[in-house]
Amino acid sequence: MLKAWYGDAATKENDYCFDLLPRVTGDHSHFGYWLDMQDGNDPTHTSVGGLHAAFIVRGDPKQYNLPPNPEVPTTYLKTGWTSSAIAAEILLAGSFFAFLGSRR
Amino acid sequence: MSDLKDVNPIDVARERRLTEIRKEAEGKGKVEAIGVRPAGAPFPVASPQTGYYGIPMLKEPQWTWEVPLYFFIGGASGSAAVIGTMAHWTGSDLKIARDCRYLAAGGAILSSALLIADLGRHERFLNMLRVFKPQSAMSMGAWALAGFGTFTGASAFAQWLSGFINIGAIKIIGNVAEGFACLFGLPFSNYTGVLLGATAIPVWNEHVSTLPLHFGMSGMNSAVSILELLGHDRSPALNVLGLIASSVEAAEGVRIETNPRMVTEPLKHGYSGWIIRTGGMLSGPIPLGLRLASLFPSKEKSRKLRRIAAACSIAGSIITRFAWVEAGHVSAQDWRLPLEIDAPKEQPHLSMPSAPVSKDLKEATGD
Repeated sequence: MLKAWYGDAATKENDYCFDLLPRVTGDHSHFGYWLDMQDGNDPTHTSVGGLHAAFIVRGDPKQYNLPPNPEVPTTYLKTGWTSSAIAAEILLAGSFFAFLGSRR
Repeated sequence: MSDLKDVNPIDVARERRLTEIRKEAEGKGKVEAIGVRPAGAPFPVASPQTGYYGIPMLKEPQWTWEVPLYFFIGGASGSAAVIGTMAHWTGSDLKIARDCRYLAAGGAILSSALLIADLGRHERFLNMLRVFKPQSAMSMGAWALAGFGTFTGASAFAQWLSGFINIGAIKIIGNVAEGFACLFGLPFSNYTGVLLGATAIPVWNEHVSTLPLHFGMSGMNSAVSILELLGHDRSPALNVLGLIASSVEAAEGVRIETNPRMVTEPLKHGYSGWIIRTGGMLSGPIPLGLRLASLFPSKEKSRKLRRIAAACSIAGSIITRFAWVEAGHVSAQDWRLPLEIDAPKEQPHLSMPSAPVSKDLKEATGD
């Protein structure tokens, strides 16, 4: 049958092009997503949070021009304010000790 | 093949065309035929400007020139309030304390003016003070500015008034206001870094943990420098502060340059990269070197060196803010970052046609 499909291109060396045949390579059913969600392992879970709707993207989100790891920027606020506090502390302590040291 | 004569000739023609197309696909990797033209065709070509279905994937900041200038003035005046209060409380230098009150108040007025002018419709600023929203750095900043402006204004006014009338109450009010101004000045001098960092713009977001520090030190540097240019160029305390600020700035510059991630490209290449570097050099290593040099030579020479360092720092601070906003624009146009596509810019995105893109790209990146 492979001879009929691939003609002369199918030789013994390349396994008669057997590897080119489409076939099932894993669990491609969308059912698994629902099972995962039931168990709380939402594969689409990100910091973007609930849209109260589920969209199942088959395969890589990049193929659909969708960001693979969407994030809400406000999750970085804590990091930002920590750094801000450090800067404020340097400013406060720095000027305090600098002026204390230069007092005559 | 021998019974071709019996087959419908249309089918034969179709088979032949199909073979042609297949061959073309094999040979070139794509088929040049017109194909079906769906509504809306031709579809937009991927590029940093149009990468995401013809529209930029991220919205660019809509800020006008007022905003980076406000970043600079806000940073400088916020730091000035803190420096002045410390100079006052330690009793080290009352002249610096006095000048800082005026500086901070002037900066607060200018900041508000710039921020309001940036809004387009001025009454929108009142709407900003209608909400108090901790998860928005902008709202926090608006409130910090409001408090900062009130108290710096009060302390500066008390300072001015005490020049004419010697009443104890005025001094007390001035000192209390100064304390609160210092309290508001602390976040006000560097919240803009949080404002940039906690956004979706990739290059800003990447640096969320250092931008507030970077901007805060830049503000401190410029406050110190303005004070020095105003005549306090003999104060050792200010030189120490300048040294701290410029060494942190220099360290941040090194950190940016050594970060190999693709996100930092706008900080290294093209127009935005060069102004980032110019700002970084002017506010980091150059003043650091000048200030260190000023520790050794004679008094006159050391003052001169410090004045040059101060001028460099101020210029560097202004350029740095403009450069970061510019880098944000460049970064927002880069569709590869949110999609996490690790590809050189010249490569076509997914399977979209790429031929007309490369010229635009080169113009956009300046390479």
